[in-house]
Amino acid sequence: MKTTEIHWEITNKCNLHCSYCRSDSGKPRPNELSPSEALGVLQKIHKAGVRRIYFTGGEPFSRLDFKDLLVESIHLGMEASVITNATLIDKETLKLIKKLGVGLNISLDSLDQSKNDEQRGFGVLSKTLSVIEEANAMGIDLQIYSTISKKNIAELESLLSFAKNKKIPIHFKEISSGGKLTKSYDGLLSSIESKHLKDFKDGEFFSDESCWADGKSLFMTSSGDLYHCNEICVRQSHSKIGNIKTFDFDHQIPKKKVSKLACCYGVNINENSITLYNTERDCGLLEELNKPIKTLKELYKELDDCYNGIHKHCLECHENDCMGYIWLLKSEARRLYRNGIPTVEINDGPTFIHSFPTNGEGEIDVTIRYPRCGQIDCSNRECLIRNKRPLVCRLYPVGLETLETGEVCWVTHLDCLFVKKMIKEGTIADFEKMMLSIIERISQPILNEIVETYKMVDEISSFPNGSNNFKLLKGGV
Amino acid sequence: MSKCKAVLDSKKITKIKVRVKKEKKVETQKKG
Repeated sequence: MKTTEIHWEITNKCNLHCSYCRSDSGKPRPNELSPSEALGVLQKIHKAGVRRIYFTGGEPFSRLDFKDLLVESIHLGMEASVITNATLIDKETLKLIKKLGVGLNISLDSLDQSKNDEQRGFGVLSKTLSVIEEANAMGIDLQIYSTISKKNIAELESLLSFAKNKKIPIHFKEISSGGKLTKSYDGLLSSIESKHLKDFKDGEFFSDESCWADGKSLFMTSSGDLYHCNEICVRQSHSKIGNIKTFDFDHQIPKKKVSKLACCYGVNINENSITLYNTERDCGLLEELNKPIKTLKELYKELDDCYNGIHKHCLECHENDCMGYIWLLKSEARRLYRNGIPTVEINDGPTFIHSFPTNGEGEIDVTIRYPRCGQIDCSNRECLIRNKRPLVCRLYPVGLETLETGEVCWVTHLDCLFVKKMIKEGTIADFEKMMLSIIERISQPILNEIVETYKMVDEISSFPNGSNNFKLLKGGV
Repeated sequence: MSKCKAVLDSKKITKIKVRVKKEKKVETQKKG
């Protein structure tokens, strides 16, 4: 699936402090993309085929380079719109928005000053209304975004009427827990109020409760993490599909079968309004993402998705990994043998890819250190069996190791260039969360086979000069 | 799993079996 739309949380910084904010906005995230990185991202996503960007936040206009990013987006030929609280927009900004043809989606929860300002901050309503007036008069493409809670459910008609009078489409979204908003928040709708919102219709309408997170549209955080949709980001932040800095759009958009999945939101598309209501269902995609991994093939797929972008680092790597003892599970040994890959079985136990030299008497020497993997192209470090490569290769830089206490653990190897880069960028913790979410879903029979095979390998191997450099990921395997 | 940086212990290896499909044969090399 080609990605054509990005919902980009351009910053998590916000000048308002709404108590119900699902984005938990306020301060910028650690490692937000720098101005030059953000410009690079625009080039990258445009090249990948993205043609529409929905900028969200935080408050996008609180980012000092945001206007430059809008200019560049349009310059590249992409369409752009911004979800904003409008409080940082001045006349000059509106002129720029008009000139660029950027759409503005302005948050407005109530026409009652005390109610709106109670939720959003003192003086916000008058500023918001003045920007709406001015932008509308200038012919800017506008939408009004209203978060519907117990505090403004009675104002659906008046908000719709306000928008219709100004010929501005309005977008109602039911409040839901997440971010700053806990389940004990007193503004959550009762089931009767929720039904009232769901049944709120405005002329001809079209309803849809299917999941749309098929890879065509992705959500990106201000630090560049990519998700199928922002719900996955809010509900399970470790289930990202990669980071834009290393993401390969040509090969690495996970293909999720979402066509039959139900969404946690339903949509009513009316003539003058769009209503998003909670369906009281769990996110179908999240359920799919949390399924136990029952086959080796499924595990391969999960790992390949997680290691999105690692390949180019492998090609640049000068470490001795990818050399030597590439051990195989029994099913892998059979499969690779059938595919003509020479293997070596030791002591009727573990099997390795054959990477060992042969001495003058025709005997192979399995004790040589750092034998280069027999399936690596010496000229460019490309793996000759990349699509068929075994688990041990797909797992690396994560793997099993035995501590001095004899405990077998999952670890992250620190010599890996990909890992070094993540440590430098401060994203290693996210990576570890992603890996743990995979490791913990491996079904017991597969895990047993992996651990038993590892133990057989461990039994006949050692690190003579203590050169094994790793960080504990999960103990007690 | 990065046993690639380890060394196999020759004292513990008693049997090596090389499997090469192309030649349609299994060679067995006794050690120790």
